[in-house]
Amino acid sequence: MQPYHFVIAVHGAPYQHQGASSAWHFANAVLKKGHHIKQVFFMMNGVYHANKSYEVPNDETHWTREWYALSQQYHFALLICSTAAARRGITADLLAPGFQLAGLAQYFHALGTIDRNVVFGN
Amino acid sequence: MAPKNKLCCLIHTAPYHSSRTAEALDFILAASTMTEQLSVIFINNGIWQLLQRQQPDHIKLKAYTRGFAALPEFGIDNIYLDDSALVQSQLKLDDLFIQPTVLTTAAIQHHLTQQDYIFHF
Repeated sequence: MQPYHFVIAVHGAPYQHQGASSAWHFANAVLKKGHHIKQVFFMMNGVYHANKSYEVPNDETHWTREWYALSQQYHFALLICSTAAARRGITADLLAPGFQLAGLAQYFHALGTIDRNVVFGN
Repeated sequence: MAPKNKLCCLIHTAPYHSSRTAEALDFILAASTMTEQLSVIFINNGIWQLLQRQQPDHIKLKAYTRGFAALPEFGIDNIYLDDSALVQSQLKLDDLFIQPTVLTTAAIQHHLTQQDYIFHF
């Protein structure tokens, strides 16, 4: 089977919505199967993933770092909707490593080039 | 690859419960700049977004739903309403501040099979 190209959209915040963790597990699973992720676009409450100030207990998953590690290993962009981020106080100086501010135009542009868009955290 | 530009936004929730549908309006406007084949469909509780005489300023919330009336100014003309949302809500088209084209659920289902991407809010 030909590998698929995915865009993953994450609408839910980490620790607030199971969709946020489901998104990571799905991304991890498709990558391990040899598919490609072009971009993970965090919008609405998903932008909280980019907050570098989360204090996560040592015995809990640090979702921000998990996304960063996955994106580094498999070379895909972690984009944050800049409008949603501004509303929620996620400013450029607060961005965790690997996360970039972006406009929705980049998301829609990517949709034109891939096989599947999967959205988590509604 | 054929261009994948048929986008459909399904609005199925009522306003003010969260900021989600307010941000959905921003999403729809952004989508409209990328494609001319954008449709917006109100189903289930989404019909309440369109109810006339909303005064959310009384609870310190922005009347963002007025933005739905401005969609045609942004070239978004394919705006539909599920007729079973009218039945369930017991509202009439006159109760709404816009008059979308009313479609049967079957027609909406068919429309959805023609889309490249479907988003729901």
